[in-house]
Amino acid sequence: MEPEKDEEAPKIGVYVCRCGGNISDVVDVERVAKTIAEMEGVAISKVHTFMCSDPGQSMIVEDIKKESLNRVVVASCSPFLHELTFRNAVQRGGLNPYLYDHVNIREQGSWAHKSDPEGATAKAIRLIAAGVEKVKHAEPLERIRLSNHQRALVLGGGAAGMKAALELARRGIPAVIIDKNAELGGHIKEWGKLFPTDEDGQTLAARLRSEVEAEKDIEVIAPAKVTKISGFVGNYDVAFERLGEGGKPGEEAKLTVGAIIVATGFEPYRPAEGEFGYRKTPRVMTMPEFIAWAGSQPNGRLTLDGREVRRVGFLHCVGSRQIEGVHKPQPDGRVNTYCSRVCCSTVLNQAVQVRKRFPSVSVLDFHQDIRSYGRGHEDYYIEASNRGVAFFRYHGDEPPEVATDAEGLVRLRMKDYLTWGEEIEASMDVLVLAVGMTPSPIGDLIDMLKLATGHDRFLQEVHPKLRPVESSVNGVFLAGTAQAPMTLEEALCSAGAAAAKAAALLGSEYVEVDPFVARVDEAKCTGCERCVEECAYSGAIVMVEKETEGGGKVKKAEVNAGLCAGCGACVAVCPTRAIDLRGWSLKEFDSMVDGLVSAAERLAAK
Amino acid sequence: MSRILVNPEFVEQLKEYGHVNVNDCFNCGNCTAVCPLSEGETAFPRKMVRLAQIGAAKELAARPELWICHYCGECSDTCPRQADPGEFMAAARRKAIAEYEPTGLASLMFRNSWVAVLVTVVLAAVLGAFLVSLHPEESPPWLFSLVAYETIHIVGVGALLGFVILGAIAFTRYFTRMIAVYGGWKKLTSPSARVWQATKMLIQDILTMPLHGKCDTDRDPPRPWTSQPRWSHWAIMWGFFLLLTATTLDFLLIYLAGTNFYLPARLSGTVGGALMLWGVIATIRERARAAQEPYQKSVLADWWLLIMLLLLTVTGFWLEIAVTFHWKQAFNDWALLFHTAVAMEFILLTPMTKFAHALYRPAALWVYHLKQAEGTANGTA
Repeated sequence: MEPEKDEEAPKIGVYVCRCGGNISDVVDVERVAKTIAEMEGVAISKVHTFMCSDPGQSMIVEDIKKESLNRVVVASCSPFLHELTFRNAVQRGGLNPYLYDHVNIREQGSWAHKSDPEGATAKAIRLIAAGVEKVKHAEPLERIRLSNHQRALVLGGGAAGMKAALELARRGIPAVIIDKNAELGGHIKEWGKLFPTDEDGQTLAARLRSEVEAEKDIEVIAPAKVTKISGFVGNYDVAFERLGEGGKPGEEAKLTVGAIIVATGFEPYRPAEGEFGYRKTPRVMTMPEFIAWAGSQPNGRLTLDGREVRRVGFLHCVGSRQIEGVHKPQPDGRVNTYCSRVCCSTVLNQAVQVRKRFPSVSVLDFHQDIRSYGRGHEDYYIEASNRGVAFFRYHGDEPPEVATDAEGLVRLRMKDYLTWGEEIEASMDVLVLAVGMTPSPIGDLIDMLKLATGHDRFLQEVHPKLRPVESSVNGVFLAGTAQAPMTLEEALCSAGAAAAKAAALLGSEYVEVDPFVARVDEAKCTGCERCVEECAYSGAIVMVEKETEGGGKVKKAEVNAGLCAGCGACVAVCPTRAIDLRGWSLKEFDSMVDGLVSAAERLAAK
Repeated sequence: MSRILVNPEFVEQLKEYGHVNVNDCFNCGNCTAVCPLSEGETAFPRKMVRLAQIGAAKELAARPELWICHYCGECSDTCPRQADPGEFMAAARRKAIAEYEPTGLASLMFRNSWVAVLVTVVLAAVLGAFLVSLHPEESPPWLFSLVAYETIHIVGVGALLGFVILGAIAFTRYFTRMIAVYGGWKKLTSPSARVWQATKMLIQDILTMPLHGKCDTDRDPPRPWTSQPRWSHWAIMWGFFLLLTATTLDFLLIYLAGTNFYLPARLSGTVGGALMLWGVIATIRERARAAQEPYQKSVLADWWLLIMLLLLTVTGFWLEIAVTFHWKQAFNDWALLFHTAVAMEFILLTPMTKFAHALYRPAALWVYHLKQAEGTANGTA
């Protein structure tokens, strides 16, 4: 595929933005525009105070029409901000939106070289000259259309997974839930009354489950395990294995979906043996263990080991907000620096329940902070405090020491900063470790889908604010606590967002992706396979046998546009320059270098 | 302080001593910030509230700060959680009185109003009966036909002795604990200039109550002096001093020395009685109205003290008038019996009632001034 030859001579419009002084206070934009105007092929070179404003954009649109421009360069801020804005403007002017180049003279110019206006001006001229030379070789491109399987796979049938599947089905998108457990519902079904509504987790799970069962567009495959995922947005091939009794592998099967929602949830943090006395005595237990045990006790009296329980303590931040050098690292060498977000309100909720159900039991609360941040969560603090819960505050770098005393009771010592740093000692019948959240063990899924994880080992989104439920893999979305510790409300909210995103993607029969993918010049390709070895996106570039004119067979590289990320690794290793990236061709790069050099000469001549 | 043993059940015990709501406190410290008397290391009431929350009973009962507080009520007005630190301080003072009083009677009386009333009535009756049982002389002078003049003095000395023994035990126990809070006697009294400075400040406190004055003037808007607790309290205190002086003069000059020089005692008694009457009535009025802090939540211990003082003052005046105008009705004898019995039980019960503050507050103020003088003495105020 040789690029079409440009029949007409380039007529380029160059637009230099002042950014209301952000650029023009440092860069002499008038001089820049004047210098660039002298370049070959530049028909117009203009300055505007806010190029992204409506008048700025209209100026470009009108110029394209009036002056029959066939290329546009805007020199302004980072392309992250406004590349798309100006592409759309160029399209409105009647040009292909990819006959456009965006030059950053703010973040890489005026802001970086505030104290050197002369240098910043010279740099702006060079960068724009490179852009002008590049855009001369720009080709009109079309977004790539791929066929689309209008069905979604939801991995995980906890609250978030069920919610995501329901939201999809209600928008007419069939969904498949795969879960490793036979019964859907995840963790919430084990937790009794949940904050902030005091609804029963079991009831909530059952309600979601019955809605899922009633929905004809949802298929539940459980217990089952995903064994292989291949393909790309709109076309994911998923192999799975139904699990028999005791998790034994059963029959294998396959399905194809257009999008995947990862709702694999979390696991409660498991304290190491001896961590705050855990497993040294049955009187130290984790929050889930406590909820299960207390839930099984009749109201009024709490007994453990045949002994009446008079005091219950709750220790916050176990396995969360750890500090390097203070806390013992996890098996992977890291400490859990993150806040698990749900433990504080869980402690307050449980503290209130203990005081309500067992009025004779005193409750002690040991925290570094109480982060009861959500709507209605603070009410639990107020009620706990009204019901006589005693609060103690330790510093993160001085965690409490836990031991057992002669009677076998739990003894906790710490410096209490609410008591101006005095050493206190509390003796308790039961100490509950408010354990945080850790990601589910989904290493195989992460490998299969090539998902990104954060330092906290949870799945990472593309952008925490602007694209909060999208993974870095096109067509794969994140729902619930697989992404980060969150409350049930937040998990369901994120599940809804992921479902909405997936539904938008699966709403049409095809999906469009950016045209910036590799292409192979078969004439130049020798079939050496170096590109295949280098490619990080399995299946994005493959060797295909082709017939030659003489009837023989040769191997040639072929790109799968659905899988190619446009990273350019194959371009770099190809010994014959047979591979090129659409929108970022080798020719364009060569000309950019020419532009930089010629601009330097032009400047030196002045 | 050594390691504090946490005892969350303590708050429940403390609640028996008054209006205690400290569990609602979230330790913001607004109370300490607005308190006109709290400063530096002698900060309260937050610290005291905290000690109660965690059940540091011994530490709490030892704190001199309990008595530095004159209860203006600013803290309770400002508390964002309605934890009522002002009332808590009052309850903590009652608990402290009970803690050091050796008979255990104080604890019973504070915790149960019926016990308090019963003890007061029975003890008065016993004392009265005892007074009457010591027969007067053959031909008693007027007013002493029921109770002999000598008898009053003998029993009075006995009651005083009882008070001295009980008071001394309670006071010593408390005072040594107070001193320990701030690092012990040696630390507090060196350099020795501090002792003189603190004593001077204490005398000033007793003369004009400048600390209590701060409670009134720091208010916004400030109270007019006529309704300032400082002045009604001042009147009660000086009224009591003058009445005590009158009794002492009477005992020394007339009973012991056998002179007829009664004018100083009568003068001191009349002025003291007038001051006392004004102070007690002004305070009773405020407590009865219960319109503003610190008078909103009076407990029996508060009323007990005021009513006892009122009874003593009124009967005292009555007797004075009767003596002055030579009223010779029989019920004046009964009034004398009543007055004497109540006065004696009042003195005897000092370490068990709210009146114990007359012992503890000056001691606490002295310790407090010693502590404050530390900064001045080291030049690091």
